[in-house]
Amino acid sequence: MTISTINDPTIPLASEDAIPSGNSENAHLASKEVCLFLADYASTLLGSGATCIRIEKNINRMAEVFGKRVELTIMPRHVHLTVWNPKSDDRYTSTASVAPAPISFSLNTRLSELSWTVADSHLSLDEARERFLRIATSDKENPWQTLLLASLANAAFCGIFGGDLSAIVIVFVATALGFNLKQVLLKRHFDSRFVFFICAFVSSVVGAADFLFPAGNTPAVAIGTSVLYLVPGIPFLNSFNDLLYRHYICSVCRFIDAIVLTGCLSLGLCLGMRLMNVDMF
Amino acid sequence: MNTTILIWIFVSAFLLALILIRMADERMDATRKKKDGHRLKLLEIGKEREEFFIAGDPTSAVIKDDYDDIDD
Repeated sequence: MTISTINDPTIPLASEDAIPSGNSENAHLASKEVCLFLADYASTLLGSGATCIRIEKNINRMAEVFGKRVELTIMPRHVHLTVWNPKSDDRYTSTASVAPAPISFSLNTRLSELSWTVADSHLSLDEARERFLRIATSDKENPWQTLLLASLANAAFCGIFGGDLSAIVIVFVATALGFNLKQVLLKRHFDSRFVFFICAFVSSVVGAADFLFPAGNTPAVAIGTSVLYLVPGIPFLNSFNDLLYRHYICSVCRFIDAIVLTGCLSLGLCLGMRLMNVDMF
Repeated sequence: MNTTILIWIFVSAFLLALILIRMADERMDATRKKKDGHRLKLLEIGKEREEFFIAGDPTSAVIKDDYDDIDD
């Protein structure tokens, strides 16, 4: 469990007077509103693939503007948040579940920008909430653009690893077909482990074209790089980042998640190579 | 033709068909949405009323209470 007292109680907040503390009912309501907003914000940010330290910093930044102190617990699938007004005793606690959503750098960046805007422009809670909802609901990337860019990136990897032109073309096609299947299955809420397994299998089968119909000199590079788009790089990096900042539970969970996905990828790749009679080892 | 090539052809044809169907589906969806907002599905599980649909019957979009679908 990762518990962090985000605000140091000994340090006075910049805008402690932002929320009236005379009326205890109003203060409690204000804490409740801020808590619910921050819990939604944190769970969305966690779901979009942000690291724990980023969530802490962003929440800290905004809580300070709203004149609140925060204690935050980040679990792999939940965020637990307690908000209180330093001038009174009332506290409000909320737990938010992380919605299963694909990792989105765009959402991650825009939510971080929002926290800076709240801090720099001293946005009101209503305005911050409105902007947050707009960002959370409008983050729709064009799936065809993503598919094309992922295919080009994977083909470029093939070139970097020494693949010739025919290998690059095969990897581009194998990635496009596999990535399309991945998008279709994830849209229909299939289990991500099954998706990784089946996509690795089909991409390796298509990537074996250079073995079956020899056109180039680097068929091994083609089949090896045809599944690179499935490597869970972000969970591995986030896991390491969480480890550095001593968020051990999140770190271990992300690492296990990444290991399981890599295992599914490997099984799919091995099955594909086996069926294509590719003996590389 | 050996088994390996057959598997390769089957997998490749399936994936190619999938991407083409997805493209066509999205295009049809966009066209249909522009027309009347109704989405045309290639395959769907219909209601019992639609099984015995006769031209001229009110569609399930008009009648919401499809009592035949209630299982005891």
